[in-house]
Amino acid sequence: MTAEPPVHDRPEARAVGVTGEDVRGTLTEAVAAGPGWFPLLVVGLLGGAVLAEGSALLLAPDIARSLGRSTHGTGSLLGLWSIGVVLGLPFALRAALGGRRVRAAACGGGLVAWGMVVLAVADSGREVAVAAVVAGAGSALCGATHRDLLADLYPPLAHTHVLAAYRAVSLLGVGIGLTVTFPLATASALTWRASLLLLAVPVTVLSLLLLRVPEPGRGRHEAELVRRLVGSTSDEPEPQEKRGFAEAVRALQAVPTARPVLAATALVAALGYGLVVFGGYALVQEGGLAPSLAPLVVLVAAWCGAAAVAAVTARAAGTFRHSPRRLVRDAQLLLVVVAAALALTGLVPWWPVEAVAVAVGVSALAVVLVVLDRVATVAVPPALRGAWGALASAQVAVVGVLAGGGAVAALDAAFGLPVALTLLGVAALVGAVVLRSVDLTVERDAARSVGALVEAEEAAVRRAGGLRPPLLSCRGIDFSYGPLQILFGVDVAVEEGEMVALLGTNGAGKSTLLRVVSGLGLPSAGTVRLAGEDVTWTEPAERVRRGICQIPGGKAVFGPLSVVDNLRLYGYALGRDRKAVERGIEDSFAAFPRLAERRNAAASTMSGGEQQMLALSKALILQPRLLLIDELSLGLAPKVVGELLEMVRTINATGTAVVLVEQSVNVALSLADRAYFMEKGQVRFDGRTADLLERPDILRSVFLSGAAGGGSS
Amino acid sequence: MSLTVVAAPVVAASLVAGAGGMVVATDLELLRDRGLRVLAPADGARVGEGFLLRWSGAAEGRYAVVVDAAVPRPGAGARAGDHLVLVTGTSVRLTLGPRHEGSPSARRHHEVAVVPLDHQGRRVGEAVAVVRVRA
Repeated sequence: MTAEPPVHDRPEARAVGVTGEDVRGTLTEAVAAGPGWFPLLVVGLLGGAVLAEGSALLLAPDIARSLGRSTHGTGSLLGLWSIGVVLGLPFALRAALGGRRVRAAACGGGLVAWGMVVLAVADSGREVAVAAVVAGAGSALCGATHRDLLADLYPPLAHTHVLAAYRAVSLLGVGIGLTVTFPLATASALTWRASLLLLAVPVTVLSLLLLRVPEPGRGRHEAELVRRLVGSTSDEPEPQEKRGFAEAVRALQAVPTARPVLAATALVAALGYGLVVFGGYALVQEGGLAPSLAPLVVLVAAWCGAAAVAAVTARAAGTFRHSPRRLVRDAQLLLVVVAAALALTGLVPWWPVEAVAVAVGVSALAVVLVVLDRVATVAVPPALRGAWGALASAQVAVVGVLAGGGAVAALDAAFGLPVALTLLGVAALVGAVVLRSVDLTVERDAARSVGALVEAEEAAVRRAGGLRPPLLSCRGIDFSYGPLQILFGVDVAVEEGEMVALLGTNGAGKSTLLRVVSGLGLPSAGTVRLAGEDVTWTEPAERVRRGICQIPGGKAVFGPLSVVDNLRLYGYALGRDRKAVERGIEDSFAAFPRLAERRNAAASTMSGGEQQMLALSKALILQPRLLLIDELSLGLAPKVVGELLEMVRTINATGTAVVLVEQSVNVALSLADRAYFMEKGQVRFDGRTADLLERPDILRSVFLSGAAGGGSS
Repeated sequence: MSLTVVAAPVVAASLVAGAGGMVVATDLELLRDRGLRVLAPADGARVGEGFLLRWSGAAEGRYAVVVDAAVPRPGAGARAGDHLVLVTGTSVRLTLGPRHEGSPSARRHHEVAVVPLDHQGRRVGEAVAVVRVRA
């Protein structure tokens, strides 16, 4: 087996702008490649203005004193905000997977503004709670849509610059929020109520201005670039395939980079929260800084973070285009810097050192966040970026800020700030280790994401040329049981109404491939398409509804149930259409009279051949477009096999395409025109079944395997 | 110039003006009472077990001085207790006892709040002056 070329050596990755020559470029050039400054400024400033609401958390003691409540309210306010993020998650996911992301983002900003206004006029704890929950829900909507929108508004070449600009502007927003709530408020004698009302103005204005940003097609830039690569002349965008929540989560789970990046993003949130909030406590309680000056240190740290992101963006863009892995390694080093900053903040009880450490730590974390954003943008397919953003927001709120912040607070209460901050530094080192796995997977996931785009475009070209896509198309399928990889880049295609034999030695991966097609197994790479539609992550039940039916080898019947009950159970997928089920049962009895004779007998009391007849009846009831049959003839008498094969021919003659996993070459030759031969998880032969007779190497291995007997893999 | 661009600031201004009007109408405060602030000790200062707290305000006014506890709600009566001292005038000598809650670092720090009271001993408005000291 040959090793896959690195992502930067792949023409499709270069064409889509993921990688390429070491082009640093500038933000101006990047913005010029997209729709100009307006969308970036509006989305970025709105992100910053929404983050500025975070400064309300630093106002929590002031709010508590005004309302006559305990000043330990920061944690409660944060908890309520996190609850809001979780409550807003279903809406955020719906928005992320839907087609109206601009409106959803504007709605999120509106909710945040509304929450700030309600908080500004609150005179009871209940009103404060409502405001925090609503603002949290708005934040969830913003988190799910902002970066997704920017990634679709600007071409991939500009992504690093644009995402970095978004983070930098967000940090500026935090700085502006802190400036309004502390120095400005102190100088002009504004209360926290006035500060919040002031902050609500830009959030409202920007939310409304956002409505002027055009709704971008999902992944349209990538699609256009791929269209050029495959030589398509069509300017029409491909119809968007809609995904449900469960399907999106299944798909994300199969992106190896997604999980560690999600964990690292939550960890960065916990580190940032710990550094700012508990670092602020350390400045006052250990370092001797006047409490009123602590917010200024946070403010300066936010500005430093924005400056750091701006300073390294061009270099980061070049590094990423040269090698995404190298940028991930840079992020690992930055997490080590964060660990050192946290340890210094905790262990050196002198506020100037602590303040510098906080600023350095915040700056390093800001750059790490940009790297994580960029990695997620390239590793997660465009259709899933919004879902990823929504999950990341929830993870940041619940796991990062709430659980992480709570853990640091508990450590502080038990052991004091020096120990708590030092242990948080250890967590930063753990984050660096977590990113090690991203280092190993990011390029493969990037190539896979681009490969899926290329495949989708090729299917579109085929359709445009009047060619129908194959009924089943498996492309580049990898599958593993835990660490044990079974399938390696398997490509299989079955045309409408075709009969295809899938041959192979024991353990070659034939049955595993059928499980991937029917949705019982999720591939770690590659795509499964049914009539051109991507069903790689579609639930198995939905695949049955779309016409895929699998008859697993030797275990397709429910032993304790009677024959007729088994048949009714097969018809479950038909829902309330009882007539169709009864008609299918009658067809089965007509095809296999022995089943009619034993209609009330338990399936387990029947012979192997009769059980296979019962299993095959599933196809007569469901009448699928694609029938997957695993080991039909194994261990059966030749006469019974003949009866079953005749029925398979009949089913195929009605237009159902059949994939027949077989170890018997005779059976394959008698049934199928075309065959695939698999060995050690790879396709070794793909062609006419008759041509198999000219391949003694393959025939020998199949015969030897058949002689050895045994099951399938 | 499109309708959205014109409408955005108008809507935002209306929203905030409405909220501001609501704050004023309900006696909630948009501006701090500049007349009330702690004069001594300085914020973050290290103090002995007993120290003199001074603040600006009406010389004959009544105040509640609250140490490490929630201040009374606006309009609520203040009663003297472990954490609250009723004062007539603008200074009081305080003795800080040990603090038992919070982290080891936080226990050395105390928060002292001064809120003005009316002649019936109820908190007036939302005004509060705060100083944090180290024992």
